[in-house]
Amino acid sequence: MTRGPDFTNLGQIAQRRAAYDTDNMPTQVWAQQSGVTTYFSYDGDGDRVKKTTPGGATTYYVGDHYEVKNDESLKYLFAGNLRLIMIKGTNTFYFHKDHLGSTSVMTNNSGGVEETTQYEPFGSTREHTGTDMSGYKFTDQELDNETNLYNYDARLYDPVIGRFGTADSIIQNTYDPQKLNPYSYCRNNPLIYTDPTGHMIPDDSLSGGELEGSHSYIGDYNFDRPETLWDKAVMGGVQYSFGLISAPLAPVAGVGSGLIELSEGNISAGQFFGDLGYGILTSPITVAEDLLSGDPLRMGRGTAGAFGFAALGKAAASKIGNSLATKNGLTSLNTAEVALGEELFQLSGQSSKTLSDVSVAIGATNIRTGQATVGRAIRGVTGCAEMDAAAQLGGNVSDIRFTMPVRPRTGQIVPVCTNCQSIFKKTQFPSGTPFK
Amino acid sequence: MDGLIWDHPDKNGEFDWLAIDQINNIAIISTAGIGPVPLQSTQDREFLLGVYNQILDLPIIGEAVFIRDHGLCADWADASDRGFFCYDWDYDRELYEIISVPTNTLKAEDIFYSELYKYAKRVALSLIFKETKEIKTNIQIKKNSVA
Repeated sequence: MTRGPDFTNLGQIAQRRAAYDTDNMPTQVWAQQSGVTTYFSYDGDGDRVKKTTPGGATTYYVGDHYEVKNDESLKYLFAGNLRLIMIKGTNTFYFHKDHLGSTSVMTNNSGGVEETTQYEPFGSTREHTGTDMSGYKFTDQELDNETNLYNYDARLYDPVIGRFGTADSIIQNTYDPQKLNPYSYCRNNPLIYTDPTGHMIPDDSLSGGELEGSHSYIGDYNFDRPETLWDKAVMGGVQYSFGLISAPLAPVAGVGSGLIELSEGNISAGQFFGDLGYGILTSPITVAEDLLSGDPLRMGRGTAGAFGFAALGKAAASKIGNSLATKNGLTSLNTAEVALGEELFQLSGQSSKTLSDVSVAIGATNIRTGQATVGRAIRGVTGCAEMDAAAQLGGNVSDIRFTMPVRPRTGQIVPVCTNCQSIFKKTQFPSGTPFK
Repeated sequence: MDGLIWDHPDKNGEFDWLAIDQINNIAIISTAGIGPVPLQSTQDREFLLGVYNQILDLPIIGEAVFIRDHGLCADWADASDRGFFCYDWDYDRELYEIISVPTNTLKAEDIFYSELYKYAKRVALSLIFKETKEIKTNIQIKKNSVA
């Protein structure tokens, strides 16, 4: 287990020294922790292209999709911005992300868990098990183990203190006091925001505002609308809820606020327990670990989680049917995503022509049967990926839940087929799915 | 639009069409299932569905230079290796955007022996690919470009 330093003991706080180029990018960083100096090189756009440590370990970066690390090639496959697969030599590894895009679990191609990582709110590692398979961890940024800093492209970030090492050259909103400190990370609210570029929070994640983000944990789940549950669950895949991500804050901020809402009659008991259930839905093992930990905070959180899980199971199991069935150790809520990932991986090994012959691929699952499949739109053949998936799954089309559609040729997330927009409801797709 | 019609021959599916510019360079332009296509190309749909087979038969004459990081892009790399400019539909801005350019360009007359020559010449755009990062769908197409 790795934990941050004890701030009451200044001797434990790691020192670093860095040199910068004229673009204010670090060219070398010495870290007391490792005792080594790491060297960095950048291309004309300021993107990192090379990292070298004194032992001779060198990593070359070719865009987002390809790296050569110590003479070993690493390829990455994405669905839109979501990193799904790492191909290392002849081995394939799958990323399982939380709602921030942080890597929670990595599995191999037989479904075995290779690595698990839990994070503190600002990204320092709370707990890590297994072999360190990939450096892409908190919010899918690369952790430089030599310096224990994250590479956020424009700047390096220290997760222990929750601050960037250099000032931001962009102030995203001068009317927002939380953004006036140029060293702060994500408005000091790392539980709902990310900073993919090291410069700013994406506009779309700001649309709901901080209050709405908090509310999504506490209040708006309704057992009469299982689609809402699906929305949230699929959107994050195997993600943690706010309750789990915020770790020790969960019982205080989450459950406490929920109880207040409950006592004031603002939400029903069903809504409250539904949110708790959603919170632990993807991680019953964590709940069990918490219950057995002996740590009062973790036990409190685990109790709340287990309570919510039981309530969820009782109230909603009949509605979401077999959607909790498992495949490769993962809940079937994300079997559609796994199926889509496998499809993209298969296609990536094909010739360029074959790759582009599949116009659109979409993962889908039937929430009554638990069956998952991939729908494909084929070049020159009438029909779309969504209807192909629906035909394969059979049953009532309203029971189908989709992933976002992906264009294998580029890995982009693409809009839902225009014809299908009158056949399927938007709630059958994850939140944020583009529609034209 | 100069009286010429744009259409969507394979809505929701990949469709790639060919065009030449004012100096006879060739581009392959991908609709991403949404982008409009000149009417001439819709009439050539059967040929264009297999256009990559024809392109892969051409010799490699240079290398692809990617202007935009656009995912896997293997087929556009193949095309630009053979001298083609490559454009793809941008969903957000609703125009065709340059993806890759060749280090050595291919002129239409260089492949007079290939069926590609005939079909590429059918759509002549009033621009020069080397100087054009974006193709908007109000671009003028020469009236006499239909073979």
